[in-house]
Amino acid sequence: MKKIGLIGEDPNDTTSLKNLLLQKHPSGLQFKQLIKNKKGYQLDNAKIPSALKIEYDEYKPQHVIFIRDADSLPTNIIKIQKIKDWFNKLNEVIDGKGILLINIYELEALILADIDTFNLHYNTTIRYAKNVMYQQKPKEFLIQKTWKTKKRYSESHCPDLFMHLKFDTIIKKAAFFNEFYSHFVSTLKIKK
Amino acid sequence: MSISNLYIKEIFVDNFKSLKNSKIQFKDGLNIIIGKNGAGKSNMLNFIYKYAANNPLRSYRLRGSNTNFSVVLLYNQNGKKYELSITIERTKRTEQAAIRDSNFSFEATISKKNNNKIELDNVRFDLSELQPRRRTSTNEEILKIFNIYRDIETRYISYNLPESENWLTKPARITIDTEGIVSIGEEYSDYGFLLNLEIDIELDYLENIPKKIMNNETLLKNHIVELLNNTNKLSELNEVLRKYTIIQDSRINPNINVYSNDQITIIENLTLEFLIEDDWMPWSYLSDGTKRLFYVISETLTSHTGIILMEEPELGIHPHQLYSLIDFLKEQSLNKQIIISTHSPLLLDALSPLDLDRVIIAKNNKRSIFNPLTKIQIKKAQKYMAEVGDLSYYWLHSDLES
Repeated sequence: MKKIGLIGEDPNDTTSLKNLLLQKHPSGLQFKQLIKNKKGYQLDNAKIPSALKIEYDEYKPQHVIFIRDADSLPTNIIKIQKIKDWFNKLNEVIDGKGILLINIYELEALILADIDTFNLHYNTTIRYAKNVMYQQKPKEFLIQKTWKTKKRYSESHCPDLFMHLKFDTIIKKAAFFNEFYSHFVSTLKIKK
Repeated sequence: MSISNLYIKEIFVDNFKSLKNSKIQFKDGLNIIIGKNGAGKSNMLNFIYKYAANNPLRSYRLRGSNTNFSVVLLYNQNGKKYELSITIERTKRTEQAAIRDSNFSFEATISKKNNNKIELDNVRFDLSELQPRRRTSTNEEILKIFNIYRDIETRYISYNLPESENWLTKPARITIDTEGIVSIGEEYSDYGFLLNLEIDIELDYLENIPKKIMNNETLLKNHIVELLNNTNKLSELNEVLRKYTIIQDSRINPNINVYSNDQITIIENLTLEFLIEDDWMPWSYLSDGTKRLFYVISETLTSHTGIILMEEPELGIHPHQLYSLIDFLKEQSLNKQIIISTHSPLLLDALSPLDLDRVIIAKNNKRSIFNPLTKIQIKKAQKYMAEVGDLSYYWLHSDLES
């Protein structure tokens, strides 16, 4: 059993990613959120490295996945680099065992990558043919699209929804997730 | 981001308890008021609920006092912003029980914020009819926005659970006659969710019961139980309860009594019950913290838009569950204006560095004063958040409130 630590901006994000990865790897992986109840900006503060070190030493995960939202498109190099710098700093604390997932804009980009599953769950008929790498504010997009429907999208639905999203469709349509997943399987030395 | 299209931007109130020449400014979405005990936080929330939110005509109840106030509302429609200012002013003191219109002046002005600001002459309204005395297209526009404001749902979630008897504490009864006229057995005004749930049930009932079922008592009872437990409101509530509390489900007690004839249907023994650890249990078996979570969540869900006034949501709530509750409230604040008073550092920590203008500090200096953070305080708070830890550190260990 490989133990994987999770650090993210929101429990919805970490649980959603866990649920998505468990779809593809239902056995052999054990996940634990290492730092709870911290939002994105709170992950930047000075106490985090010390807290992470304590949790890492105690749980002893093989690897730790760090999930951050870019809140911008891939063209915002400065923002992306800032997140990479944050990751590099924390990665030192955990002996370089970190794997970084930067969601382009937000986690919801992955939902747009498999809009058919979303439509099924929300009884909607949203058509989405764009490249998710270039979608600004995907969360707001989904909220607006379901504003007048019986079931409105809420980010708290993500953990359940991510149990049903089609993994292979997401890999095909969300380049940033494909890149992360390739890195994930090669680092963990597991089969795709 | 905000989808809410009407919110209170500013309130001025004079002569209401500790509120004397007190002004407070709000943002759309989430607003957090902090301040020591006795600073006037509850007085302000109380005032807004009783007099300023929804319907300034409630000021009629201010008889015998000399409270004056004004409310500035911001209303977004099709990308345009309208600012509506309403002033209720007692022009003549009276101790009469019945207040005549002439004792108040009600004035409304409107300005279109995104165009060149148009300040219109104050328009006098007839308070009893709420019609402008001069009918112009602008006056009609004011009236339209005013009516939206008047109809907006406002809930007041106090630190105590409502004391009145309701579906939770005592079985309720609904009487529906063939005309569709409904009588509600108890007073529910302080439990908006239950009141709205009941109205939904009645509408569903009236629209959906086939005649052949009406003639069979067992079928009718089963049908009503199914109807009661399948309302959209209850489904929505249950989905949220599962996420944020230990309540797995809630339902209307299946052992209702139904009496029906050609003229009238009476449904008795209506109570809500709760599934916890796979056992159904009544309200009285819930812990105080779970009751409070249910109260805060259900009242916040009373309607899809509106104004929620909330006193110390942290009371009796476990810190991890409070974090989740805060997430829920932040999400709800996308389409509601939520004004919270709190003593909880965790609630303050829920704000991002970009949301610091949502904090209001209440102080009592012979009268209640409500100030937003200054630019210097915001800068210092951001520094604390980045370099030391959370915003609460600044609150607890520095001079945020001084």
